[in-house]
Amino acid sequence: MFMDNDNPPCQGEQIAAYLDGELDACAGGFFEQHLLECRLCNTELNMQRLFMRELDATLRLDPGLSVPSNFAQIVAARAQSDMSGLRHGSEHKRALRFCLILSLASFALLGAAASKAVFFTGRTMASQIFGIFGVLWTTLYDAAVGLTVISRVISGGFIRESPFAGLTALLLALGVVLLSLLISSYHRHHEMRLSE
Amino acid sequence: MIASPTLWKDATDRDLVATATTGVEDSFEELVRRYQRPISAYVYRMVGDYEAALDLTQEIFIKVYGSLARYRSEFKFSTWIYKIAHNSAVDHLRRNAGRERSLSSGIEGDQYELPIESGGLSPEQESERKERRLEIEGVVRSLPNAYRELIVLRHSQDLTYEEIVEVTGLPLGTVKNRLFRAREMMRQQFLGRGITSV
Repeated sequence: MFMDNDNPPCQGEQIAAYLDGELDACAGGFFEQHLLECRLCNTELNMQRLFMRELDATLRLDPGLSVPSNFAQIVAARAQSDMSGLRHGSEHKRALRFCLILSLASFALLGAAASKAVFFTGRTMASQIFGIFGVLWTTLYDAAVGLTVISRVISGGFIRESPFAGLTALLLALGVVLLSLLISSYHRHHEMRLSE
Repeated sequence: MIASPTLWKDATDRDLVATATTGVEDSFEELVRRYQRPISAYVYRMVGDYEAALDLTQEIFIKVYGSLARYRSEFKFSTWIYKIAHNSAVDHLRRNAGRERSLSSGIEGDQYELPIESGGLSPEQESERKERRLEIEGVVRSLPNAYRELIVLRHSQDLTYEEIVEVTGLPLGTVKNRLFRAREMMRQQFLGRGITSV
């Protein structure tokens, strides 16, 4: 705020607004009238005018930023590919539909690929397990066949050489049973005597 | 519909916005071409960093594209885009407030050469002019954000008070007052540096 002896207080803001061309016709006229009488405002006006010219001259120059030559293309492409830039509800719905279709398709493809891998692994494992069981089964079968052949050969020879083979076998079995009974009764008596 | 770039050159901003909202890619590209320099210059003067200014300019145009449907044609497109740029720059400054403070002392080293019009000036005069402009840019940069944005909008982008009110959302009285204070502050700084001719 500036004071002149013969004039009312002057507003610095008014001077700035006047220089910026922001005073309406009435306020501008009034201010110009005031300038004719106010020496301080005149001085201030000239100082501000010079300063603003200097500011304008400097700040209206390009600050020397070199924007890439294809900047507009890059920005436009980025803006258009940005999903957040969708502007209409219908675009959002269409985008949602596309997303759903794409996600379903990708799930299906992933599922197919995964099931292929799972089946392949299962089949390989099963064939290996079947192979092991096959080897075991063949071994057991061959061993059983071998034992049968051997026992047949032995028993065939034995039966052919002795005409009382059946009776001998029966007696042998009876002998084994009697012997085991005798042994067990001996042990029972021996224990009873020891306890007495 | 694909139109040649020369056709868009004669189109108004409003026409370009209208066609861009219907999905015509070239029209948005033309809008970017028209505003890339003033917006990047504004952002650069606000943030004081070349890389950040370019990134921010890109972000601003992406925001603009995303908001084209909300643009109302009764407003000037330039004011609307400056509003988006202003909000983005203020957000950026707020986000980087701590970092900016720590870098502010070294910001002088990150200067770009100011383009100088050398019409009929002697080398000494040119050098003096260049020095003066660097001084002024330095003083503008040293202003508080609330003042700097108004100085840049008024003197660099040539916006009227009314447009500044629309861009910043400040009341007219505050804009007038802050502009006056900012200029006073700058003049005091010049006096403090011993520069009396400004």
